[in-house]
Amino acid sequence: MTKVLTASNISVRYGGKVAVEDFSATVPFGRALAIAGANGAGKTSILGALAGLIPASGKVGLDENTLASSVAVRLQAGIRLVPEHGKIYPTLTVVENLIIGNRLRGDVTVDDVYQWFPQLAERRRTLGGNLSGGEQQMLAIGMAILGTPKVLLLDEPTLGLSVPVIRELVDKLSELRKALNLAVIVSESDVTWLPALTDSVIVLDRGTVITNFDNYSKDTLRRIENHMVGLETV
Amino acid sequence: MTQLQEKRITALQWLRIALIALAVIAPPFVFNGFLMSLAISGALLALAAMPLTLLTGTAGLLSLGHAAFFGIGGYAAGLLAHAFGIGLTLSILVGAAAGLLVGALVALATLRVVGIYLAVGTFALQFILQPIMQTIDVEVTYSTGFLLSSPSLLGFELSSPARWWYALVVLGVLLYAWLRWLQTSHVGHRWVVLKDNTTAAGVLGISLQKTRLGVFALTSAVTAGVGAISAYYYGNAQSGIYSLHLAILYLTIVALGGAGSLGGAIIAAFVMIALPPLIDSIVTYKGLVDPSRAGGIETITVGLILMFSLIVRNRESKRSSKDD
Amino acid sequence: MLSIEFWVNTLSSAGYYSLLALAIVFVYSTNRVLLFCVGEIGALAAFVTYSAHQALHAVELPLAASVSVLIALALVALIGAVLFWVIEQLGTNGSHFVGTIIAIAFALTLQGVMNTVWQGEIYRFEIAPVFLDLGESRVALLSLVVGVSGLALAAAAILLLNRSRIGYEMQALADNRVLSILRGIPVRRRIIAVGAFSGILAGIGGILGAAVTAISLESSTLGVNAIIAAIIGGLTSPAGAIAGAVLLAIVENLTTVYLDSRHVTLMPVLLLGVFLIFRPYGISGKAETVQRV
Repeated sequence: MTKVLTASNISVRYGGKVAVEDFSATVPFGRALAIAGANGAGKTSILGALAGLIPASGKVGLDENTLASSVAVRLQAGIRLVPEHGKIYPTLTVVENLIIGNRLRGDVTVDDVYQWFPQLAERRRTLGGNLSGGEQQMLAIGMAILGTPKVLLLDEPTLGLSVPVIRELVDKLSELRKALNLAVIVSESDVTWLPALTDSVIVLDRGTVITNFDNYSKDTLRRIENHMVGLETV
Repeated sequence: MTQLQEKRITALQWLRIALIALAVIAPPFVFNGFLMSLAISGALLALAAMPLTLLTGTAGLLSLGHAAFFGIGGYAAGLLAHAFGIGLTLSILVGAAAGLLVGALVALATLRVVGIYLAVGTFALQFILQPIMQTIDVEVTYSTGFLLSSPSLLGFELSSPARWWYALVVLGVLLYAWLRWLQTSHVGHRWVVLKDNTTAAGVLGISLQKTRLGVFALTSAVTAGVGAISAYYYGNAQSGIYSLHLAILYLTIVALGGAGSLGGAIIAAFVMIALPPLIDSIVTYKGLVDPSRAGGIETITVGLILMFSLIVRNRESKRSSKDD
Repeated sequence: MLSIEFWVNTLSSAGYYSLLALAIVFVYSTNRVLLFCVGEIGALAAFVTYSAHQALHAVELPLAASVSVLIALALVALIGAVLFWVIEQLGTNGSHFVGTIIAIAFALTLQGVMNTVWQGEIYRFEIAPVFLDLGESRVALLSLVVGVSGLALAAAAILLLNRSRIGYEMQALADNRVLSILRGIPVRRRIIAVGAFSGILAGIGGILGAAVTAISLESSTLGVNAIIAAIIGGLTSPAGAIAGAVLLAIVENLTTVYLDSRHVTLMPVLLLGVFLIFRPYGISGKAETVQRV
């Protein structure tokens, strides 16, 4: 039986405002889903809700188990979120950042992280704030996969990075996904890298799912963009 | 809405107006000397609390200097009376001007840093003014403090408690009206914007800096003005009055009444003025506690009221933001 | 020329100020709360130590002095924990300075407690005065001990922060609360632990300060100087706290030597004023690296 992450009918409200309405998705382990949408579409809210950080209605389950909505429970279950901003500790060194991440002991150790990200190994004693954008992203991912990760949630991982750095990141993520059999969910407002990062995509607009694609054909990216901008409707 | 419901709502409004009118008119007729002095003290506290609740509640700025500005007004009144024989009306204006100036200086000094530094600046102000006032006490009045007498406001002689009371009521209504008007105007809107942005670290935009300067100078001026009036009522201006304790008392009134609520500040002021004699009588009832320890218990009570007011009000705002 | 006595007095002041200032910096770094009650916590620790010692000495308990200190520190650790627990209850809703006002409320409440229990009494720890002859000066051994132990403890606390896992977690918490939640740090427990730890630092500072001055309600004004020291050092810098404490001790003692003793309270505040205008983020100059939720 393939292991899956299931999100059912996730809705997020801030005060009276509805940020996300009725989001559902299933991601098998080893596969990657993209959530595409413009700024404010609700992507961060969904990822936050899956991580247990943001209160939401609906259910999140791993295989048969429904998970309680606390960060501690979801972390223990292996759900790891890398936020868009504030993803590492700039005033701590690389080593210290990883020590923080290593609270939950498990299959992946700090040495494993150094093997996957040799740049981090070389700059162990560098302060997080002095790392390049790409290195910070790698450190953030490294922190998140320590222990026994099952699901990796990435909020806008390519934002602000240069093309060669993104290419390297994409390759690494692919490697990690296969090696650790992770279910990955990536939120992106830039469609360029979606096919490289993910297998399927759900398009979000102002909190609601407007369409989804199970694969990427020649046309798909353009159509996704149209949907995001409102040029195309279902 | 049915006609019956409309009538009921108006009846409630009438009841409110009647109660307020009673509270305002009755005291000189029903209160004895002690209660009258308590009422007037409460009114003075309320007048000074109103600008602070605007500053802290609406504009989101924490100030520990309220006693200091109050003292600036008091000392302005004292010095003017002592050196030039100038009376109350002018003292209020000069005191307010002095308050405005000092307030502007403090705000300018802390303009470019995070909001907590305004609190620190006012804290420093308190500890700078205290020894200055003490020096003035020693040098000028030989430690008796300034003695102020025969106050008259714009020709109206404040020669009896009843006159004081009604004068303060009129001033209170005027101040309330003016501050409420400011609060609901575009100026007040800027203050709210300032509050929401004070949490941002680092430099505020120029216009927000101006807003911060403006609201702080304004509230300091009003506070100093009330300080001058208060000095004349008590007939004395002395450094011991204007302590950090007083500043914290004001903060407690603001917290109790709900930060940003002018009406709340007024009611809370009267509650807090009634507190010390109330505690005194409860605590020393049948010799339960030594009267000498009553002071400490009063202090504890104020501290606890401040704490619980904040906690309760915070829960309220959490709840209300959920049902937005 | 400044005498050895001057330097020993300065060392002594720096000793207890650095502990109090460090408590302020730890609290501010983690919570953006300015620990206005630091002086009161210190004074309370001194009072409790004294009274506990009186009581234990009367029943001839061995090591009465040490036990009294432990009792006092346990109490202030509890107070620090409660303070932070209360602040946590408020959550991140509302104004950013509500926590600071809670600290002010604690200050007032603790003052009231001390006033009620001990009233206006002034006590002194019964420590036999021992003097050392250093060159041409006679210096009090107590001052030396207070100074050296205060600074040593402060340095040790900073080392603990910089080298231990809990220390990293406290730094992480101060840096970014949301990320800390996401990476599994038990945020609430850690914050309350910071409260307890800071309470202990403030308590030791207060006891050391009272040892060389006096145990009285007045000694909570040491807190004012400690706040000044923390600010001129840079509110988010532990090393800055020590630097600020040293600078403040020097200024304070210079004032006593060259100026009127009346100005002893004024000079540190003027120093603060100068810093606020020209270098508000202190000696360390660490800009606010705040991440607000």
